[in-house]
Amino acid sequence: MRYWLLLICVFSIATLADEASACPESGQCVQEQQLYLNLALGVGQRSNPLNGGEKLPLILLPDVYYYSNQWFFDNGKLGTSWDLSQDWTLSLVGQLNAEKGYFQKWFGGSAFQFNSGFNQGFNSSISTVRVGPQPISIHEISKRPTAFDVGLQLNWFATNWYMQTIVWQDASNTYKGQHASVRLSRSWETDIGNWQLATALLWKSAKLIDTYYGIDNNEAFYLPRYNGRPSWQPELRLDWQKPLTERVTLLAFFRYLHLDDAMTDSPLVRSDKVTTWFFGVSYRLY
Amino acid sequence: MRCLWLFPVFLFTVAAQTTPVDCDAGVCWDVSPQICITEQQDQQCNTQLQLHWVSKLPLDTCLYIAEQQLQCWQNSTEGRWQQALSWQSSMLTLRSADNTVLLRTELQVMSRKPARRRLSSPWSIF
Repeated sequence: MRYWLLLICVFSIATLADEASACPESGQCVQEQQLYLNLALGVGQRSNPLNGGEKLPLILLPDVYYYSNQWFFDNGKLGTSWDLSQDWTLSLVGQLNAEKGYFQKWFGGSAFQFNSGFNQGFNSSISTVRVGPQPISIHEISKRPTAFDVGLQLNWFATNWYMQTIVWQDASNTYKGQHASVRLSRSWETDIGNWQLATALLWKSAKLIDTYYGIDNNEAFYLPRYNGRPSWQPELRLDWQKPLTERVTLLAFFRYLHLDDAMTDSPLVRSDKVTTWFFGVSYRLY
Repeated sequence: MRCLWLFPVFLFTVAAQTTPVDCDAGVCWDVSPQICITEQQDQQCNTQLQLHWVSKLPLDTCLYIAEQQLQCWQNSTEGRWQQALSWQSSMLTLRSADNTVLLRTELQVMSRKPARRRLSSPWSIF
């Protein structure tokens, strides 16, 4: 009930909000009613913190977005937005919950996974050895559900600065919980390309953690039990882009997500971090 | 979607009101159009621009768009000018022989599909 009241409140604010304002040159602008499709080809990988979980190979990445006057689709996120002022935008958004991705089997095996010496050395130098209950592989547990979330997103824009706050609620009645994030990023241009450094803090409710990383009485009797707790996860991300032509751009990014005890205490979790990296060249098709 | 680029670009112009004309210090003019609406953001406006100026006293004047000289008149009390131009938002001025601005009118180009901010970071799902 309280969420409906919140939504009604949001729509009331939106009704009073100004019409969409023009995009300043400093911001990342899109043309309305135009599909954007970028494809990046390169090498990269997202690690998997779960026992038995597969790393996600990043070879061909899409960047797809479309903005109409009020509705938008941006890399899997569907939303409608209102400009509250020149610098603030409020959006009602929906997307599939990403948590199930760690339980997914990608491309049927590990053929695309990179296990270079660099990567192994990097992992071993930073990983902490988890001391806890008997580890459980994701292959030993029941299938985790697919969930759809709806949320409120607040964006703030300033010259070279960008902030995004999102509060999500499970709309599919699957894990019956919430998660939220606050993200602050700074961008700057140099002779060798355009950079963006972002820091974020993610919060995930106990119900979300419990649904995906908890071990309850529905699992096999011999597995150790774990009840999920709220989790706080700080994140750091560095993006680099070097436009070569109007359509071709060199790009790289590195993302580090730290997992707290609420995650690592789960017998499913073997690592306290998720790292994502990619280097490649993108081509703008549309 | 890409095929959209193959379609001719449609430009819409909004004619300025014919009366009253803009006047300043005994010089008046009528400029049309003053607003041009393009299909896409940052697109130039290609349209026929026309103007008519009148003065109580004979003047040596020149017409400028931004800092580009378009036409000059010698010892005239009125002038007419008409030409197809490609322009973005800029200032149209009528200047005296000593480069003093006698009249100015802003030519505006507006887009039917304005640009807006992207609300997620690029490659954000990874």
